[in-house]
Amino acid sequence: MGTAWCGLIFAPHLQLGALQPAPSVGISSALYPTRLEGRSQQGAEVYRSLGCAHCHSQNVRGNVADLSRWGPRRTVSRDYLYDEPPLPGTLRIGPDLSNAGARQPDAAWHLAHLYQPRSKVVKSLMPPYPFLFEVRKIGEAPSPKALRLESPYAPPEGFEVVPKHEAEVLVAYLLDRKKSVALFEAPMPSSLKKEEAGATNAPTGAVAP
Amino acid sequence: MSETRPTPESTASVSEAMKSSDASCRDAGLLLFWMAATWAVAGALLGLLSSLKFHGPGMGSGAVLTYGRVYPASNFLLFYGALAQAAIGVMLWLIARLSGRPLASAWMVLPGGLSWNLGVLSGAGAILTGNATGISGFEIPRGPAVMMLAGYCAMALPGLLTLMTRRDKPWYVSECFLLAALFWFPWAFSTAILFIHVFPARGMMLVLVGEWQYSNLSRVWLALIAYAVLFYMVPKLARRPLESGPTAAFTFWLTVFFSSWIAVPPGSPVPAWLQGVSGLAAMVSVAPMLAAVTNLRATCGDQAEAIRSQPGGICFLVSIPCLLVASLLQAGASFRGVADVLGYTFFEMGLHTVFTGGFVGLTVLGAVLFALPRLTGVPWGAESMISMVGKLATGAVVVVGVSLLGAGILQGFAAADVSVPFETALKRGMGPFRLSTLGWLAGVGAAVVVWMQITALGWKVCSVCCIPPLFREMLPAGKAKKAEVAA
Repeated sequence: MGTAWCGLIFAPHLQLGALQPAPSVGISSALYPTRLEGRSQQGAEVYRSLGCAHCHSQNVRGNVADLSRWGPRRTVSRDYLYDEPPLPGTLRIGPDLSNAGARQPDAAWHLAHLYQPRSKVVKSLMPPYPFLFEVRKIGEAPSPKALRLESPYAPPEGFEVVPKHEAEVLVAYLLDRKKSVALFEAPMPSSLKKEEAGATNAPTGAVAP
Repeated sequence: MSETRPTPESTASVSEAMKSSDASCRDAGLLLFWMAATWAVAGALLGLLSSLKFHGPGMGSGAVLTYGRVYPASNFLLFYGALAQAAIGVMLWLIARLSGRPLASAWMVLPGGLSWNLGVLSGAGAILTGNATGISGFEIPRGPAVMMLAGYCAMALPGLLTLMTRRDKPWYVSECFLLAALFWFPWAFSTAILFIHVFPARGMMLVLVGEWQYSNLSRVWLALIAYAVLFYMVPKLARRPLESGPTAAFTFWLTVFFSSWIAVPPGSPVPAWLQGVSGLAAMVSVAPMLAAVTNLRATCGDQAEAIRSQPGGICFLVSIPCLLVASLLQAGASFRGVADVLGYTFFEMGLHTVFTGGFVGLTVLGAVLFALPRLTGVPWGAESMISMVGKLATGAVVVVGVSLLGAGILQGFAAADVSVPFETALKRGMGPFRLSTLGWLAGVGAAVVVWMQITALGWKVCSVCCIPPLFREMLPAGKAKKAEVAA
């Protein structure tokens, strides 16, 4: 009982607890990681609250399949330094989201996908999140935030679908998911060029919580 | 440890002591088993709903019923509400029986059980309303966690006091397992509370604490209780002494030393030495499991039919192969290459189902079905229904376990091929995965039937002594008795 506690709790606590941001390797030597900014941090809360981590991992392992799909480099403890809580996930019913922002940087795409995943990915298994949106009558002018949806997912004539604050911050969090900085303990694999970092064979659409 | 102790029925005095021990656990057993059955119904229904979402993702699209909340709530209710609570009840019953004494300070179990169940209720509520911690294995906020820990301490204290006043000096094999189990839960659970809620650790350390805690509860704490039950029940039902005490001791020591080191799956974003140590422990932990299986099979001998004929007997018979399968799969999955293929697939859920549901869950269910008529002195109302509970629960575990393992293997091998798109890899596993809905249906059926049977049993017991005489006479049983007296 005590030995396992010392080995798997106390010793890692000394090692991981002392972890600090480190200079990234390569073009920029800025410290990595940095804390999530306001909207992204709020989005992380929505991500945690909805239990997105039960379907989506945020951990690129060092094997070829993971690196080529979810790349560009493997994930290490330092990546989660400021995550409260870290959400590496336990299952991949949906795509890994470590680099969701690099793969799909279009916020409008993410919002439409959250509202109705099958509007973007045919036969998607992801549940829709209509409670993150408001379907309302169009006022004097349509809201600039209104989603552009095609039939059969478009709202009735005279109505529009507008994202609530939760949906907006969640998308901000997803767009912030980029592990494009090389670290001493996790360098970019030489087989993957920088320009290929965001171009993986991950499904084009399936990037959402 | 004593190797071949005479069975408790061997002398009249021992038999009397056993009856007295059983009677002392009546109220505690009824409360814990009934509440466990209640949570099992709720957990199985949520599990069924989470499974149905893979047939129609849009089903139940409110925030409360989204998959990311329903699935962990189901897991939480089945693990802490049903399995852990029933295991605590079985542990107290076995301690009292093996000690040859009535359960000391049994009244403490009632407030303890109340606190535990309030913790479970508020914990499940927190998960469903989006207030979970997000840490896998320890999703509940501080309040429910503290309530559950306090409840456990109140429930475990009578067990400890009873063990301290035990009648016989040599230790039964099962008593050693139970003594260790008494302390294991507060140790692992309080560590999680401390490092997650009181002095929160940083970064991946939080995940490591959650995984270590959950692994210790399922692979050590609940496993110790399940071993204790099997090492007691199998010889008792087969009417043969345990084949080998030293082998049981081997199982005990290796489980205690090595299984507690299993927490970090290969490929986790933590230092490599942690993955190496954990993987090595997972491989070594196969030895005690195989030793237990060999020991129990040898003890069982040709008495399988005699065991099967007892209430819950089928559960014991199926739990032993589940332990064997889980041990072999766990050993295989500890290798880095295998984990790269099967990690992050349904395989891990399947392995968890076979070990926790198949080995621990069925063992505890078998013990509950055996114990309750002896605690209350009232036989089960319908033997056929009890037999059905065993068959349905066994079917549920087998169908869910096999479909998840199959889905995980198909999904993993497809995903390991870089040329296969992720969506295609996922779809390859979906066919077998959707079969698990049938298993969930059987699980709901088993939970509902066992809940009805325990409720009926409890009603029979309570209508005799707990309900005031005025109301008692208004009940059908009371009217019949009154008419009988008048006649």
